[in-house]
Amino acid sequence: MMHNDESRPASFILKPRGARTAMNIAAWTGFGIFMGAQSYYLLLRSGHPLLWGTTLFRELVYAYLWAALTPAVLAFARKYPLDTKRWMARFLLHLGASVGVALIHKVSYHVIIMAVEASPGKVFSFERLFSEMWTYLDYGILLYWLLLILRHAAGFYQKFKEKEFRASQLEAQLTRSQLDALKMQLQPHFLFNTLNAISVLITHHPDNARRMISKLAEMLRITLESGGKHEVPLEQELVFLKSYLDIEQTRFEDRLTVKLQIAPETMGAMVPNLLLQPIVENAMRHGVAEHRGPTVVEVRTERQNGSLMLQVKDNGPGLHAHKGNKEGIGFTNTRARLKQLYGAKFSFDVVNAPEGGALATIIIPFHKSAEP
Amino acid sequence: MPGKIRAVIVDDEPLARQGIRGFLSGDPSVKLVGECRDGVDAIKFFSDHTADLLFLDIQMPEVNGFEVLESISPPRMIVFVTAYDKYAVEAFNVHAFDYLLKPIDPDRFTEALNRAKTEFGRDRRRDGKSKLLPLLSAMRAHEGRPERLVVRAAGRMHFLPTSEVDWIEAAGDYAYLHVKGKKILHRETMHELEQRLAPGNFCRIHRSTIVNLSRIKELQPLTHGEGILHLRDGTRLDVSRTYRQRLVALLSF
Repeated sequence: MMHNDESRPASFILKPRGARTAMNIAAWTGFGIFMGAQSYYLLLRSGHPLLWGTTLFRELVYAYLWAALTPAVLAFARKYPLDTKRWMARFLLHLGASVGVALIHKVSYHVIIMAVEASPGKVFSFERLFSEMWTYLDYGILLYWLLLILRHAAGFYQKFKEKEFRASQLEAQLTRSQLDALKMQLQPHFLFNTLNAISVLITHHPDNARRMISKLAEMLRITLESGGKHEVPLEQELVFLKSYLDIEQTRFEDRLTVKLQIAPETMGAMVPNLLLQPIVENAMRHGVAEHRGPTVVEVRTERQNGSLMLQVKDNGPGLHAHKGNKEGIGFTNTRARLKQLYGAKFSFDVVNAPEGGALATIIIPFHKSAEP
Repeated sequence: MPGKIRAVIVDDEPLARQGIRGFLSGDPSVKLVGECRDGVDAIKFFSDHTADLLFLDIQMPEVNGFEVLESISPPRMIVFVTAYDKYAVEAFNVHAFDYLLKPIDPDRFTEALNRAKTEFGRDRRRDGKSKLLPLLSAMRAHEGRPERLVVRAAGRMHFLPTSEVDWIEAAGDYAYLHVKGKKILHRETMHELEQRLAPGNFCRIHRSTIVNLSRIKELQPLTHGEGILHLRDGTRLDVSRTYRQRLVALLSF
């Protein structure tokens, strides 16, 4: 199932325009103050001190002119990224652009400074502008390339984040499809035979028919409502299991005996949603469905210190009696889900019980809130 | 006026049997003569009973409905009952067999019963098994089951894979299965066995002999088109003229 809110790619770097402008100005203000302090100190050391205010003013003009140019440089960099096949052409393009932008910046800077600091001995002249605009031009080119590199780094980071997001989304979908697969294990044989049993009960035992319908409804309701919930309290899991077992009991009458041994302290423990049903169903399939004699299915839970043990035992022919000794799709899913939920902190074994039949044992961390 | 239709129900779920019993109970022309709680029970029942109409569930423990039919002389009329089996339902359609899907629709049941009644009024000597064979072999291939024969030893019923049978000898209406030097009496005629055993594995070589091809050591030709067949275990069997040509053709593969 697709969920629109999740399939929309999220943007991790591109923030609203206002926030970007604020960030731009803040960064360049910091740069200006730092550079101002630096030149003030250097000029002080060199014996030609300038007023602190003058130094700071010049550097801030320098920085804010860059702040004004930054959006254009970033946009240009985004439009013509370097990481393409035509990287050489792009490199030359940006080299030219860097010189151009640095020159524009420098000219603007000197025009402003000369205009503001104009005094009788120091007036604006193109001659001075032409001589000064080339000094420290390499610094401007360097800043352009710095912006270019920042833009590319941000691009890579965004791609990385998007990839990571997609991976987590895949994982979620996997889990969901696994749950769907579990739901599918309400096999047609079970469903149609149950409906047939109900249809027979209607005539002679209407109350039992109603009971069976409500159990079936209970099962369907729990399955439908299980979406998104990876874990439920054991008590809830047992409601589902009991409905299932009651239906089977009605279908097979004395051919099936169900024994539940649930330790009271385990009732509130969290277990993977729909964990037990495929295991019990498997026991049933190897029991009642393949075995003529009376089938006994036992479900047992126990708290063992920090762990919760769940056991399902049948008196069927055991594991190796089955062709290829396949675990079946239900068990593969069970194992995969347990691994996803508990990492290495679980165990799941299906063995032949010494007294015959198959014995499935699951051990997971004992916990009462959703995450272990 | 023919007598009542003798019907048998085979299903491993008590309520499913009760359902069909309920449908039949109102009909004076049908008499329920047996109810079997699974496939093994059904094979036992038909070893000393006969019936006209069989309601047969397919999915049952240990022995399914098709295996039951392979092992008995089936009633003339069979209505398959299934909860869900796409392939089988297709096969029923292809081979023109009647079937009911669970939960059973009363109108569909009446239709099937009426068809059975019409059929019952017709030719009563028709062989039910020959019509079944193509369906049974298709289902066996689909289910990947090995070919098995139901045999009784010391009053107990068990399944013998046909691959274990060395050769088969006629014994009146029955047959002796020769398995590892032992003789097992089997309740099927040579004709029935010849029909149902896979032709690639078995071949009739005489009016009273069928042989497992994998056991043959050599064929020694005699005059008049007859021959003697030597088996790996030293057994020597007569090959009659009628069957020799087919045997030679099969052996040349």
